[in-house]
Amino acid sequence: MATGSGAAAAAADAEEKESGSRMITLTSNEGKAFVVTEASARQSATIRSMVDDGGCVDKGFPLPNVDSKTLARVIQYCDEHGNKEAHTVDERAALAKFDKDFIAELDADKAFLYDVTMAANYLHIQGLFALTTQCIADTIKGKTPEEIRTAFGIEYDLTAQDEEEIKEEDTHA
Amino acid sequence: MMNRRRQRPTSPAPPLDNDDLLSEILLRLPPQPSSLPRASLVCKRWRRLENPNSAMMNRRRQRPTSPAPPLDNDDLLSEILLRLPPQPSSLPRASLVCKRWRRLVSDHGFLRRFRARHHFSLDLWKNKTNCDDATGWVLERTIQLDKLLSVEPGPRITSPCLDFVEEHNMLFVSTRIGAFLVHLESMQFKKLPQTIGMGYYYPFCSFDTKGNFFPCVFTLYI
Repeated sequence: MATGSGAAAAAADAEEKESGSRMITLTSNEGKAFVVTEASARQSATIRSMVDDGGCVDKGFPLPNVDSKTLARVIQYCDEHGNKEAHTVDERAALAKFDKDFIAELDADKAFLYDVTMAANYLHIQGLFALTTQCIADTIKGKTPEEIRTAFGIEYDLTAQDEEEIKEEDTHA
Repeated sequence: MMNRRRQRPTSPAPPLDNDDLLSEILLRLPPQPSSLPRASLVCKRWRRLENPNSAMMNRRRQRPTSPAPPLDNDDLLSEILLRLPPQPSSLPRASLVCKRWRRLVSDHGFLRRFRARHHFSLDLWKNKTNCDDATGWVLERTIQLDKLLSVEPGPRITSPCLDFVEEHNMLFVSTRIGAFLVHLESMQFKKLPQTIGMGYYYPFCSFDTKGNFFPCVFTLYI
């Protein structure tokens, strides 16, 4: 990951366009510019389609829904998955190890995990989205409904009748 | 520097003039780290409302301890709940959380995706003897129950209600939409006329006077 001005992306020449090694500028909602490889940016289906439509590659992509801290972390993921090969068993194991460490770190800071999840959804980064939503699902897993409500600050609004119905439907509740 | 007077809006937005209303509006800013610092930079009054001792901040403190934006969005919450493990208790527990969760996990589309993700399948193992007279369990076949019993909204296999009628190579499966007998040779299934409730059951076979085979299930309620 490198940071710089939007002008850096404009430096991409024709040869780079063909090889896919162009640099692309992503700008956070705080106006901070992040220059990434095209391969890294293409991890995002949102940016991929804009690049393929011949959109504003030179001007860069403003991301009004993503703050700098979140974008930096998202780019860390995209760099790893976009710029590295995953052909051999070792390479795939290295990526899996990266994912495991990446999500363990996020899991320790739930608010940040949620920000990254929202950004992965907004940018359509499939791998990152699967990773973060699975992490949240793992938090829900094994908890009683009461524990889930406490963990996520959810208001209890079921009536006694609702509860009765659900319990009748399934004895596993 | 530009003339500040020229930047003054010609028609101030009335809700923003009322402290309470402005507080309510600021409360709804996205939980991004930049939201509050930016709001404080607007003017002195906004800054005062963002002050930690203001009524607004007190209210903010009363909000849920961990606001989880991904869980506020129905689509995102569905994506998360899809990733719960396929244990029989996962979805019933989720539906007991609140009305919104219940609505999401009862959705037909959601249930179809949940089943497709987890492939409710049944592994049939057979105890086999090889040429050395050594015996061992061999995976004979995997049956995709959800595909076989393709009935919407999707039968939820309740784990204790499975039995194998060995002499007739038939499988008895009880689901929340009824009980089925599956013939393992032909893979044809037949819905039993009566719904089997939760309880103890025992499948057995019966023959009529002409020698026709009748699958029967004896259920013991406790």
